[in-house]
Amino acid sequence: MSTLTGTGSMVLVILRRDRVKLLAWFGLVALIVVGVASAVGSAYPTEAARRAFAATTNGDPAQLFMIGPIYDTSAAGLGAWRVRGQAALLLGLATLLLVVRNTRGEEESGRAELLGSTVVGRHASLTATLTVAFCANLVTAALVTLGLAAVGFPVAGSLLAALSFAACGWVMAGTAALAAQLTGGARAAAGIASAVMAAWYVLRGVADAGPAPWASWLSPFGWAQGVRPFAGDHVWPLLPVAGAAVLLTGAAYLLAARRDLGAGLLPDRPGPAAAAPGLRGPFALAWRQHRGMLVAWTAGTLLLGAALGGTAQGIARQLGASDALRGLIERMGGGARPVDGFFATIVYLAAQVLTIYAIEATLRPHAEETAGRAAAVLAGPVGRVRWAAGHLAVAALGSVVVLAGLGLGIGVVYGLTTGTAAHEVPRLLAAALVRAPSVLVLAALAAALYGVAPRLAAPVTYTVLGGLLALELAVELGGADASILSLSPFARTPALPGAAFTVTPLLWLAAVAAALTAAGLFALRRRDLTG
Amino acid sequence: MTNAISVSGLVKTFGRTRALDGLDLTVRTGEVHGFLGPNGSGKSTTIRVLLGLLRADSGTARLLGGDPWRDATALHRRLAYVPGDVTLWPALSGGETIDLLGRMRGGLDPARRAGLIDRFELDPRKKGRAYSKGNRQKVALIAALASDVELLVLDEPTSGLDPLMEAVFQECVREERRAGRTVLLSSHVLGEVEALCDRVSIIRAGRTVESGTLAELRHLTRTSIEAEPSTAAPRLAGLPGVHDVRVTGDRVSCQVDGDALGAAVRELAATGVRSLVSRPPTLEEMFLRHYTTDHTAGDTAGDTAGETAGSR
Repeated sequence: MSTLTGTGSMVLVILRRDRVKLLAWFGLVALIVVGVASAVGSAYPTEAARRAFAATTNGDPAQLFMIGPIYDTSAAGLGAWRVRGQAALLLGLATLLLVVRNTRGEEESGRAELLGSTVVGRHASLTATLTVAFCANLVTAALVTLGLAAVGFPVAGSLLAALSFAACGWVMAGTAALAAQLTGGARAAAGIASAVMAAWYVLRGVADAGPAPWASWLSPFGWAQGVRPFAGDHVWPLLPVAGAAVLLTGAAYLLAARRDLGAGLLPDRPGPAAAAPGLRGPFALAWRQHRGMLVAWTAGTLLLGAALGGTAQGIARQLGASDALRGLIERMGGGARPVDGFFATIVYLAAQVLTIYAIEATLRPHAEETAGRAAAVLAGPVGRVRWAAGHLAVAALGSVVVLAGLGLGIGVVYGLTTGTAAHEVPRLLAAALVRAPSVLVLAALAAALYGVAPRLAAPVTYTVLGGLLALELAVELGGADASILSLSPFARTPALPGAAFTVTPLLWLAAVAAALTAAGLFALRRRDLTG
Repeated sequence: MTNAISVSGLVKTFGRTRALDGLDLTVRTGEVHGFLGPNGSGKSTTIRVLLGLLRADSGTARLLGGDPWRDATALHRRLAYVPGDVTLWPALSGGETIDLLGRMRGGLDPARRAGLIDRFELDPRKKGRAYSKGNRQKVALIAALASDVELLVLDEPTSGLDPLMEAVFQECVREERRAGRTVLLSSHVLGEVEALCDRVSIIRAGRTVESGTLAELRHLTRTSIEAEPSTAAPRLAGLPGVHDVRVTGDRVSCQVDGDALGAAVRELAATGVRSLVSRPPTLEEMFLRHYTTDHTAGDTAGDTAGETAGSR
């Protein structure tokens, strides 16, 4: 097979280049999965406690949406349920980034051309990348199996749980390989693959939380969930997962064989010969560059909001039927109406995910700087602060728009189904927008780090975001006092629409964000430009 | 203002690497100044310091009468820059990029823009990601040449251009000089340097080794002489500044330092010659001599050159 010549050496290249990233992503996922799964058992030590928890959870649409139903009340069953969503999404994300980076990313940078001119077959790069992706998930599955078995979970169930997580990674490997053939840019390819993953996950979530749980079988995440480790140990749902992975990968190869190196599926359309009058200055340039990503994210949050708004009606009915659940929702601030507690919880969690947009958009200047395009602008009469502020302003406004999309999606669809749109839309829009200051604090942290130590900005900011998400787990499972949640800006914002609105924490968060941004811009003025 | 750029004793370190090690550079207003040196000798670092993208550790740098770091924004209104490695915004067309960069510099002349696009044969409708290296350079060149500035900073601007476009570029630079603009041109294309530059500075390992007109630099480099003495062999070997004396059959050849040329010719005239071939150093030889790292102080002729290029 001449098109595969050199696959072995390409595998070594990928392993060498991504050794830290592979270890960090996949090793960390294995650690989180084993750590969290085993901690759940100690958080609910008695069978009675676990039963009560399972009963509450299986009636709680927010939990059903986010993770899905609990199938078994043993410590292992509860553990496997708790990590299901995180394991699937993290492995999916790690895999899709790995695949896009090593296929389309390499092509875009021109390195693939250099390597392609050596004795390397046309499909060697794609094959090597998929091999690494497959093996990384397999090794993670092996580690998870060993880890879960070591903490005393049944071996067969541990193996199936681990394989069901890895299966999500494999499906995303195929999806990302296909997405990488479609577009000319790595950023767009990763965006398409992430959007597909999010859509599949939301489809499963809506199905599990709503009146039609069978619909979760339309999503690969539903199949992985159908394995039901420790609760029957079904092997067969892994078959459609494997089938989907094979089909997607096959499609990727088919397209790869039909296109030129560096080209996407769609030919580049010519652009205008002269710039529109509006394209002047750093702000206009920043807007032009952020436009695509902002539109995609806003469309995504609108759809997510619409899906949530659509299921909320059925959820409200379920909520009325369960006493235990009403108590839980009330603690979350859903005093007046149980459905408001659901909305508050969902918006609280969604805001943390949407922070990824805020961070990515905020770090756009860093990408511009390393690509050398920043120098082209800064060699003109444009101050660094003005240049960076253009990007930061678009990123901040974009974050608000993305949040508004979520609130609007929920409000319009829920309002239409209940016939109270005029009442619901402003309330839910406010519930989403009130989260903006907390999102912007994280974005501002990225901006501060970009000014001081640009190379550390992305890893440190994402570690902090991950740490804030882990606080939640520490309270839930590790027995940490709930007061440590006050470290998180996300927990500081009033939980609208259920809770009362208070302006003080918002002002504080805005002040912190402003201070961090100012510090970043100050540092940016004083340091050397890289790239 | 007589000097557009004056740099002295510039030092810039990156970690343990000393990228600039006491660099001097003077560019007079209205001249085209060649900025030469082997790869990694610090040309681009110097330019980035002059653009205020990097901050020098020590030494002084003046650009158009201002401080390149403190007055960056104000100074950038008066200069245009073409980087050595042009990266464009992938989704912006070439025409949009030219307009955008031009407008940021305070507007560009539409007639000049159209003329340059025509002369450089650029398709302005293509997207940034679709251009080849040479075409990316054309986009940056047109944006720079179409704007009304005093100083052009060009970092290897023709490394991707074909010979036809190279000729257009040279023509454009001559027009710029006639219009009174100053050009700092970093280049490896010796023909281009010879054709365009009034003065050149050669740097190596972050220091200036030579600076002056090409004629002055030639003077500092050895001339090779090959003669067929008519009577006795001339006593060239003993003369100061005469090197590599070789006698093959009835021919003698040697290398002579610029300031020792008179003495050598007098000696040859005294002994009488049947034939004499004297060849001035080619530009290539001159650069090769300055670019190679292993030449020592004794190798360089003239006191000034000996000082600056001395063993480190």
